[in-house]
Amino acid sequence: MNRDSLHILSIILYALMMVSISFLTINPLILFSILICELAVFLYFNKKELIISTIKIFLPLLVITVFINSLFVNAGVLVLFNVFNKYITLENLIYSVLFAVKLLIIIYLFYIFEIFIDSDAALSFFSSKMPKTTLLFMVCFKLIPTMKKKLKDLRDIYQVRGVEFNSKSRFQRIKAQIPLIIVLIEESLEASFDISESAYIRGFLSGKRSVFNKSKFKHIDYLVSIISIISIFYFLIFKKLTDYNVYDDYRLPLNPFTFSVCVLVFVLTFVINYYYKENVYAD
Amino acid sequence: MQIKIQNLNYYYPNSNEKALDNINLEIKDGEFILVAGYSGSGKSTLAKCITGAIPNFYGGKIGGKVLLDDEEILKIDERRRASLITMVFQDPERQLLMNKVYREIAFGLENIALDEGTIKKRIWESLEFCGITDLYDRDISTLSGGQKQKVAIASALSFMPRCIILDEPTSQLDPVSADEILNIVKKINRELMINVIVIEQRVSRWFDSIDKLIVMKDGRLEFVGTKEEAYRINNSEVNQFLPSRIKVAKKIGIEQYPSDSRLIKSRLKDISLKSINKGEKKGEDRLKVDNITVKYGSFTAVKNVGFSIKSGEIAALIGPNGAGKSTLLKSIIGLVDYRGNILLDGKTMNKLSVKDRAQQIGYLSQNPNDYITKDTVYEELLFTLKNFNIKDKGIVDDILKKLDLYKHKDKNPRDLSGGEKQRLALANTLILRPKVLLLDEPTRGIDNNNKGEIAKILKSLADEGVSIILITHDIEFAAEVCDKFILMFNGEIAEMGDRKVLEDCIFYTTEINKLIREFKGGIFTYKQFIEALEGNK
Repeated sequence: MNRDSLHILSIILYALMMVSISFLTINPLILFSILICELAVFLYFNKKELIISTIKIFLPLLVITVFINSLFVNAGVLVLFNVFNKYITLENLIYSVLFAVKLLIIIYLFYIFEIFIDSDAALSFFSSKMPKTTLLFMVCFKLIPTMKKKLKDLRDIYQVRGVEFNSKSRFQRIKAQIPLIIVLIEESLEASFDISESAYIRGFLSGKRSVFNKSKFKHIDYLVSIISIISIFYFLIFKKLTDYNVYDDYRLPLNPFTFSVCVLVFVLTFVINYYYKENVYAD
Repeated sequence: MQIKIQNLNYYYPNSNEKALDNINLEIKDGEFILVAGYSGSGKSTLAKCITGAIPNFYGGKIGGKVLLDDEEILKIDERRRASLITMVFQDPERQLLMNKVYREIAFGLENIALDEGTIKKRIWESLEFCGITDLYDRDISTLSGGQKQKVAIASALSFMPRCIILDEPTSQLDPVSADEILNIVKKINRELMINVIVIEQRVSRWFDSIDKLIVMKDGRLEFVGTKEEAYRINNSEVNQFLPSRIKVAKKIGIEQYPSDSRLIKSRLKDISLKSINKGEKKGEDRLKVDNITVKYGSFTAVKNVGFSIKSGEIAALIGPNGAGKSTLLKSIIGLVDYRGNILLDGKTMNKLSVKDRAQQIGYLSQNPNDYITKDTVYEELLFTLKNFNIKDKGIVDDILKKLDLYKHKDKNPRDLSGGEKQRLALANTLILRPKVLLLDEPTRGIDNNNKGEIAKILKSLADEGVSIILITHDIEFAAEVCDKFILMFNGEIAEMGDRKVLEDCIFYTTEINKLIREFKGGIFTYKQFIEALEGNK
């Protein structure tokens, strides 16, 4: 990643637009437009394996959503089948699928963040704006992978000390984790102290920082930011016209407002993808 | 940079014990200093006072002054302080903050608000100086321990400071990486004339390069002087921190400090030494490792390895990091899947679970802190016993007494010293009275005193018939304690046998063996040298 990347703020606005629209609507056309855009990003940047691995997460997620939804909601008129005296209706199923898609969209957005944002550059940018909060995040981000590795080593050690992690009793399984958590907490506290000391020695919080490889707010950033903001407001203003209630009418709400939101999402994603392919990953 | 320390006293927060006691010291511009001393002697505390981390970061009560070029450290603006003096810590994992190498180096320079052009120049130059330009945009998580430590040094160097302090920079590294770090640090001092202060317990590697040796004890300066002065003085505290080759020179009566080992060798030629023969262990094979292969995905970590250990035998697994040593130990205890056969007293263990194996085979990992979860030393051992449903608690007292921990039985294990924690971890393993003991770097990060204690314990266990396999980078310790040596490279055993394995090694041998091997075999440590010398008399 280099300084040709989009500015962190424009990417945040783009993500904010995607997240807020996904949260506020259940309109299948809009949700699937966003999902298709996300999938297109992965395909465009050769992340097919990501799609495959997330499908593995999505399918159980879908089953759980359908199960929970049908457990509490009996609405809908088109009965598909009957399981344990519970009617699974078409409306119920559509709602569950859309809800699962919403969750998938959010998960995918984190991966998209990873593609578009250089985390070090983001930290460097935020360190110059709000250094103390950034240090806190920095320490957390640093510790998570270390703790993950440490947890595996600790499981090995405590297995040798006779702890049974695969006991049949759930209580015993939870109890078995306690020593690991104690060691992990102590270790992470010590590690955070050491990391902070190292940062102090290297002059962190000693005054205003400079930013290396400072990303400029370019024309493309203005374009992406403006379209993102317009999309959010446009959606909020015409939200009622794009509303969809599957239990009232499961048919798709085909109207120009829904289409225009979809088009805005597509255009924005296309612009960002094209820009990155041409300028950032050109080699 | 000239560093002056005047009447420095320090208490850590909530402590009534002096961590530093009336320190007076002067370090001249461009000097290379080695600070030695046992754990808890105040070495790191002194370093932290020089950087200003004490009291600014740690708090506590401080008295006296630290002056950098006659300017008191506590009055220097933080930004200028960071660019004047910096520090490299012992664990590279706990000092690198960013994901990419170039970003890591830029981090410090951004803190002191250098402009972009200067940052770019400093990143490339410091990487070039440390010989790691190829790592420029590498993800730090993909680097080896040695590479990470080089990045930490490049990061420190990029400040172009007047002084760099390194706190046990090689203690976590294998000998090859440690030598590379030494060369970089030496170059920083000699070519850039930057003051270097190294804190180390294993002085041998650094000794030839230093201008001054400082030995600390109980927060006080026990000795400050040149190598030559350290050589002449008859002070047992100082003598303990002389490299083995220098101790040999002193013992055979070389009057002046021998700056060249060839001089010691030429004098040794005329001295007759008694042969030291360590009798071969006899008896039945206790543990047999037969054709073991371990794979992680497509990578083969251990390739068709086979060996056997007799009852009461101590074997050392030696080799560079990544040679497959730890994986091999894990396969024996059943923590990794393997192909091949592992037999204990002639019976295969392949189908036994980790818990079943653990009742006969003890396994000790590298970090003793991983064994601390309870509030007292006694409860810690009880925890292991309970997990194995052993009702007889009498063994807890026996083991605590054996490892000299009985006096600490009601103490919180977190309050123990490094060596005591290591003994406690070992006690947790011994509580099940294992027939075989597997130890992964048991002397890592502990001082010579504690190392001696560990050596005694291992020898006494071996006398009781326990077979021990230990991984170590400390060849002197291995040569002192072990009967068998297994040298591994690239997942395979290159050679295995008694001490003769080490005798013609280029790298994996001791400095005393390098001096003596041409005219007397079987001598690897200073203790063995004395035995050979006095035995002859």
